[in-house]
Amino acid sequence: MQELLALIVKYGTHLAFLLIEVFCFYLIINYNDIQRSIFVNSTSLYTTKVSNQTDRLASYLDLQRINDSLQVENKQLLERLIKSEILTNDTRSVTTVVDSMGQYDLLPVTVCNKTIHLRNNTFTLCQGSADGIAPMMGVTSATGVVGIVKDVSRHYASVISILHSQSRISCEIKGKYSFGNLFWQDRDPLRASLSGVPRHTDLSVGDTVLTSGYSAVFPRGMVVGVVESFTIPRGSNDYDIDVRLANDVTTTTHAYVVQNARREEQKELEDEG
Amino acid sequence: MRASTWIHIVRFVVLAILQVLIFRRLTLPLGDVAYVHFMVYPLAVLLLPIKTPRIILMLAALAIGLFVDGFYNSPGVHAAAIVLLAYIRTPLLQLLEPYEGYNEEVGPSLKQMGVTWFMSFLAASLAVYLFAYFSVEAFSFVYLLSIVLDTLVSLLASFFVILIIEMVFSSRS
Repeated sequence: MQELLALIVKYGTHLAFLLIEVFCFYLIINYNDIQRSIFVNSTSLYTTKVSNQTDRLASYLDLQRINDSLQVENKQLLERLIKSEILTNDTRSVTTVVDSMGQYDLLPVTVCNKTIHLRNNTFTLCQGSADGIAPMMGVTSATGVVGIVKDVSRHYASVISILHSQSRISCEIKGKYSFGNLFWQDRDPLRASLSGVPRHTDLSVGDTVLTSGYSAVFPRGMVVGVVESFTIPRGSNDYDIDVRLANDVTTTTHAYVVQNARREEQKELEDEG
Repeated sequence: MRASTWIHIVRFVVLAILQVLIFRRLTLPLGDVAYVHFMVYPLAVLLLPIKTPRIILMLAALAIGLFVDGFYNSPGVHAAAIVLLAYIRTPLLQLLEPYEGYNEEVGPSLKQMGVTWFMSFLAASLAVYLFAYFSVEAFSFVYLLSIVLDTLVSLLASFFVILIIEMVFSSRS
């Protein structure tokens, strides 16, 4: 307090000068039209600038929330896509179709860790059994298939990437109803191979490759990629197809785990035979 | 109150009234490049006794500035400029201090300080005051050129008018 008083005594004149000038400028701005309009215009120039900057900062800070909500929105859209696939391709009676519409659920997940340059690549998801992830569930991103869950811990899940020598995904050629197995053998993260498509199939470059839905891992009709080239090896009944993957797995950061409510039922039945 | 105090008060009132009733009407356009303003009332602040505390100087300046503003219909514009002049008067006096020092009891008038000293004091003070006044009036240095032109022509005009007033008053007494 003493120091403050000493300060006021020392700089009192200057403070008084500033105060008086502030008062004068208050009068000028409030009671003179020209000066006021100049003042208002130039301050609004700066305040707009400042508020624009803070808006940008705020939107940057908000990105995580927006991202989450977009992921949820994406999940809903993908689920609708799966449902519409069931609706358009199923020839069963309406009640069974409606009944199977809730068969697949998507769970938004984020990628914690991944390898892309190895022969056997894996992902780690930041969600685990606590969030409802179980082994043998499919993982897809908004643009295409990513892999299949191998192991889960409570808070993490490890995924066999589509870029893994042991990864096999049952696929079909869109509109042709012939199916095969997708596997990855070369080291190009954007290309995979499809084998087992019978040679009588009317195949052409650019055909879309979709999941077949047979393996109970992925629902039918999720995009995998497009046919880039194909050959029929001598003495073989099947095509050798090079597939250009729709999804660049190397850049995937957000994905969806496909939960199939009827997987157990299907597996049980199949294993009995 | 002492007689000398009354002299200062009367000078304040007279100069303020001269300014608003006569010199306010004399504002001349100089072609279309500048306006000549005759500003005489800053003399009242300049002639206060040298020992006057700065705070008193500034309050007196604020009073006369607001009074003049009332007639110019520009609240705060003259006041802002004349308060600045009051604020820098003390450092300016220190800068111009003659070898033998000041008689602190009286104002730095023409009679006290001599023509040469008074002219430099007046010119410097008026330059600061007028530049501040025209800057605040334009309120943007976008108009810097016209601010400087107005300051120059008004400096010449006001300088000689004040000099004449001072000469008349100092020869009379």
